[in-house]
Amino acid sequence: MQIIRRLVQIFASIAVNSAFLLGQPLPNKVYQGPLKQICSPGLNCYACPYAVAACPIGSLQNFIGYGAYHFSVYIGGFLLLFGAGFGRLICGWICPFGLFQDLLHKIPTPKFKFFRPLGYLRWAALIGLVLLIPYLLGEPAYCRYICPAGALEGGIPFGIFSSQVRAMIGTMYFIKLGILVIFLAGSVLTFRFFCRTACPLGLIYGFFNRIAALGLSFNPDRCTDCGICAEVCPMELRPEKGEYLTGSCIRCLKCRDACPQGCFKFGFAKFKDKSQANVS
Amino acid sequence: MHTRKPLRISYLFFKKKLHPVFLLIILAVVLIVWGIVLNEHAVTQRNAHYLCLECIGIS
Repeated sequence: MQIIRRLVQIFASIAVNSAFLLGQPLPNKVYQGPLKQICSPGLNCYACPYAVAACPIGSLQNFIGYGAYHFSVYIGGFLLLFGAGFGRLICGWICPFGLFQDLLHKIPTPKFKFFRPLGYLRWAALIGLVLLIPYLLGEPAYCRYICPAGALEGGIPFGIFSSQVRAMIGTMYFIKLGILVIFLAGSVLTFRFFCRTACPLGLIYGFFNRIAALGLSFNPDRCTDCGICAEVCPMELRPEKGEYLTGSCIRCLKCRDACPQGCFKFGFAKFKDKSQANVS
Repeated sequence: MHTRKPLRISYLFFKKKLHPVFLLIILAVVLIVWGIVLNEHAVTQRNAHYLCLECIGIS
């Protein structure tokens, strides 16, 4: 299953950044196709020259900051659709920046456990930078001050290939590159460091993890408390204690693959029965 | 004693009981269609067509 997951991640990352297949050979301008009215499910900056879809977090901030109603039912609908349909399965299987972090974590260095209180920073990112500051000051604060996907997918290619952008580079550009380096270094040392500390999209999808249409279920009657699922969980959860239902599980399905008793079942919501869903 | 079977809206349309999450998905589709009626899809596209200078660290 892990090979399939990696293939899906690679395919999805190429699919949402496939403008080079649509007649844009050089990454020195933004792709302007009709697909940009659709949101990509994962965190993928629309300033990436090859991005073919809009970033849901960037678009939401634009509507909150500059929209007539300071909200968008359209973007809200996409977030609800992806969240209710898949929950954080999107983080584990679709998100391009998630794939990048997964690959970075394979670099052989000493690895560290995640300091869990840092997870509350995601709330600050969502409430403060994505909702409040855009509403009060009319600027996309998350994109401007935090988002490393923008620096990686947009800042670096434009800095190299666009002379116009190169002429405008100032201090903020290098501050954002510094933030990118911090998150990348964190992801080498700790699994999915950015997702766990600063991703508002993962936080939103996490609200739906318990009820998502496509998800994971657990049969406690088969469980022998061997603890193998907790050992293999890269997010340092205890799936057998019900933590697979929390917003931290990215549905990598390593617990399902490792469980010798076959306690975990992956499928659509209709396959869950009540006795399995009530574990917490 | 005669008891009346509770009416589910999903029975009317789909002739079977739906998992609540599918009602959320239907709500999401309604929101997206509502957004299209409000022309928010075009605004989203226009926003995404311009190079987001904040995103790449130029501001």
